[in-house]
Amino acid sequence: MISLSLSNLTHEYNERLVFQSVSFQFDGKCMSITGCNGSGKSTLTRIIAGLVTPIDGCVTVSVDGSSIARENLRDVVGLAAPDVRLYGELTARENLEFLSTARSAGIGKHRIGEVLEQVGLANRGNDPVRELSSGLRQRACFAAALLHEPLLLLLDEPSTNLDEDGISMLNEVIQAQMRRGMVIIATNDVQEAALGQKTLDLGGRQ
Amino acid sequence: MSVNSKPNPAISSMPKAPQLMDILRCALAVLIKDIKCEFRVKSALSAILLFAITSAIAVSFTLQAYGGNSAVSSTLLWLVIYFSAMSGLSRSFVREEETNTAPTLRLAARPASVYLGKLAFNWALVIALQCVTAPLFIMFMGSSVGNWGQFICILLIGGLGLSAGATAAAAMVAKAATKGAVFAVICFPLLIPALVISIHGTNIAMAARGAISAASDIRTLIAFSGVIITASLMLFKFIWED
Amino acid sequence: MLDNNQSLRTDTTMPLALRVGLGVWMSAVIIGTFLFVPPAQGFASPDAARMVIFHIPCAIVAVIAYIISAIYAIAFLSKGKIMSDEKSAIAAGLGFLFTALATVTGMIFAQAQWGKTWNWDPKQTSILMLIMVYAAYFTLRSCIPGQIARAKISAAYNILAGLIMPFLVIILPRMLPSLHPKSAHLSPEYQIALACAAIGYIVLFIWMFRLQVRIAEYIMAARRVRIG
Repeated sequence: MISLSLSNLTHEYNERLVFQSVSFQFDGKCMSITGCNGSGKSTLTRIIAGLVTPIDGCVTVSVDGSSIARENLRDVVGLAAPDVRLYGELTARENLEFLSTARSAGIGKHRIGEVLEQVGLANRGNDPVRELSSGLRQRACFAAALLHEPLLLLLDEPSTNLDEDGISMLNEVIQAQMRRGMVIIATNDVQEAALGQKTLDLGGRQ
Repeated sequence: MSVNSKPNPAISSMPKAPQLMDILRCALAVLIKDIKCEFRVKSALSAILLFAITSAIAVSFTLQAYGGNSAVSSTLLWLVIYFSAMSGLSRSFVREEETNTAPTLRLAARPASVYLGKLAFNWALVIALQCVTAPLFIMFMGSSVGNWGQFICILLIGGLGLSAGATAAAAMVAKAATKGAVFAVICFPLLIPALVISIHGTNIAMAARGAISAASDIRTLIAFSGVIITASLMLFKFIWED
Repeated sequence: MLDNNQSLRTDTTMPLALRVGLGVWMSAVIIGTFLFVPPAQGFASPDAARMVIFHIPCAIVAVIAYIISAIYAIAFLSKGKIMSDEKSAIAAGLGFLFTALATVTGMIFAQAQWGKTWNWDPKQTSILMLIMVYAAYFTLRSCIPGQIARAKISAAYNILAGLIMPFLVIILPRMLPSLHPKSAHLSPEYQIALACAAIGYIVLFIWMFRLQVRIAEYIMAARRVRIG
């Protein structure tokens, strides 16, 4: 029901080629992106999420056979990445309340409690995000990415900073997402990469 | 591609054409979020207000002799407002980029809502600056205001014109390497019409000589703000998204 | 890359005949201006008034260049071809050059006619604003990393600046008194010479524009080879 197609994707940043002519088709449940540091994993997740325009080529996310326009991508995609942060001055709950109003997709109040519970932040939801530890902050970012029940969940280096309990939470999140739609994991971790039914290896430079 | 026969619950929240009310509700959420963040870090807001007060005092202290001259005092008043605004109006976007919250906002809100929310926040900031500087300035300079209605009207709409251009400029420089200096440089041409017309109108409103009215300046300011806001709304997705 | 010997023949940006013609044409305009056009009446220094024949076309070409720059900016935002952004920047750069020439010739003219280099005359004010707007445009371009972000943001700024132009050029100057004479003061010989000079300047602009576009294409191709 949801499928992803990358065709001839090329991206460069500040006159340096990040990757070139990446083509990939996927319509399964879980896919992983691997590659050395600097091979463009994070950039690729951002391109798929519609945050970055590639220099060349295109990304198509289709739901039930019809492709989603880029300006509507934000309703379908959830992204949790190290450099996608929440507002430090606000509490986790306030952040989620803001994001649910901003999305204006009819996200109920109960959904906020639900995602906080899901990521194990139920009793720290009223602390300002900047006072949370890095692991808890990461969980809050998962909550933000899951808030609108996206059909396509993008996780960039999801297990960094997480403790053992966090890893099992992450696995539950991934399992639940595979039932709902698709999950894409960009990682260097062999175990995580193995979760993917298909792997896109960006390799390394040179 | 296999079409799922079972109805998908997520389809109900599938992309639809943006409604005006949705955009405004989202803009309001952005405004409230920014005000909350700003008030939790009180130092920033008070620094900007103090900057405005300091410049108002410094200017009126040295140039108090010109208080009776409406051309001089209207120019100085707007210069104080303009430069204090320059120190604060780029903050909301620069902070989003620096704390890496900008992608979160991009993923959640439509560009039009982000622009309107930030515009409302910046306008509120300019009005707060004007509430502090204008009375102080008039008191210290010993200026008189002939037509208070037009004077306040020009402060408000001139402030809107300044914020409309500065909000677009702030989003442009948020990704630049040297933000502060570039912001002042690119704001100047975008804001100069609003500034010059405001000074002209304030001069008339303060002097209030006979039948000369600042109404045409107010109309020009409204037209200017309208043009900038409409154009920025249309162009904002190119400025804001990578 | 081209070497000097080849450049005359391989420069396909403008036919050789047209390039030679342009040289002859502009020479004729200059000779005509100083030998056949009579001193203008109604000026403090009628002989120096010949300056307008070289001053006004600069301003005309500058405006044309800025309009072309804005059109390429719109083209970039709607089609996304990076070359449109390059062309937009090139047109703005040439516009800036001609604006600078118009300002300098205007200042010399003002010194001769009105005794002051700078008068805050509405036209002088507008041209100063134009310089500020496009100086800011090049500053903005130089400090945004990432080719696509730079192209998008500077195109957006270009269009915004274009929309502000009427306020800068029409509305603000109305608040100031003008020294500039109406064109009715000029005799027919002047108008013919002016039109001829303007045509020459426009052809020159087109040639400069095409040359710079060619250079930009070479640089782009070279970069593709280097990083690809």
